[in-house]
Amino acid sequence: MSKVDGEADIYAMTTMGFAMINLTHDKTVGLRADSEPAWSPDGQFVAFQRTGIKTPGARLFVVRSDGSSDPRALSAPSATGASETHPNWSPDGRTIVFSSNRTGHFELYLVSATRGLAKQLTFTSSVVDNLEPAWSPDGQSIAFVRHEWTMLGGIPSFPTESIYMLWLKTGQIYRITNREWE
Amino acid sequence: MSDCQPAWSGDSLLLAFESNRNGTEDIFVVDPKGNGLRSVTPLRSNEFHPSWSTFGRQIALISDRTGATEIYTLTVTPTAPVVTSKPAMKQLTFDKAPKANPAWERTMPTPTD
Repeated sequence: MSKVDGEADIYAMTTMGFAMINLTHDKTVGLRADSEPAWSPDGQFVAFQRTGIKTPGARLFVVRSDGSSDPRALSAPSATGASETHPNWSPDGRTIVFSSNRTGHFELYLVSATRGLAKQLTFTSSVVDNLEPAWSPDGQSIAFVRHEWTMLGGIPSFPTESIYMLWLKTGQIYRITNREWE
Repeated sequence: MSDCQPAWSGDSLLLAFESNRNGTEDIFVVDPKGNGLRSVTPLRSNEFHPSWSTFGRQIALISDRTGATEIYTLTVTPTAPVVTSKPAMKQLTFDKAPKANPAWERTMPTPTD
C-alpha cells in the first residue's frame, strides 16, 4: 500500500524497486483506503481490504495482479458496518482466511476465493480479538494475532498481543510468543 | 507488549513477526512451536510488516530509518538469520510517501533467493 498520489492504493512493483502498477486506483478519490494486500499463491490475484472514509466497516476485494480488471467484492456490504480485514490465501488458492468483528469482536473466518458464505473458524470470548491470520505454505496451520485484555474490576485493562497457532487438522490453538518463560 | 503481523517463510519452518518488546518496533523470527526467538532488525528505527521471499532468504519490510516509511529487503540465511547491530537492508522505495504492508509474491524468485 502506498499513498504516493495522496490516495491509499494497492501497488505492485518489482524487487528492483521500479515498475510500480496501481492495482486499485479509481475515481473514488477521498472516499476509501485500500490496504493489507495478499498475493494468491499463483500470483494471478491480490486480495485486499477496502475501508470507507465515510462509511463504517471494511470489506474484502480481489483484483487481478496485472491491474487488468476492477476489484471484485468477496462479500456484500455489512448491514451492521462490520469490518472484514487481513485476507490471506490458502496454499491451493481456493480459500481466503480473514478476520471479522461481525459477532461484536474479531474472530477468524474462511470464505471461498470466488465468493460465498463465510464459515467461522474461531470461537472465543468477547475480551479477545483474533487478527491478522497467515496460512502456512504447507497448509497445515494458521498463525494469527490474539489481542487479549485482562479484566480488572470488570474493566478491560493491560492489552497484550501475542502470536498464536491454529492447527487445522486438530483444531488445537496454542500461543507461541509472550509465553510465561520468555 | 505487542507481537503482530505474523508472516510464514516459504518452507513453513519459521514465522517472522513485528514486536515492540525491545522498545522500538523490530522484526523477530521464531519457529512454529515458539522456539528460537530472535530479532533480525536490532535497530533504533522502527521496522514493520515482514513478508518472506519465495524461498525464505529475504524479508521485505517497512522501515522508518530515513524518517519516512519506505520498503526494504533484508537478506537472512535459511536456518539462522544473522543477528547484527546493522542488518544489511536494501532500500527499494525513495519517494517518502506513507507506505505499509509489503507482500512478496510467492511465485517470484529473486536473483539471490
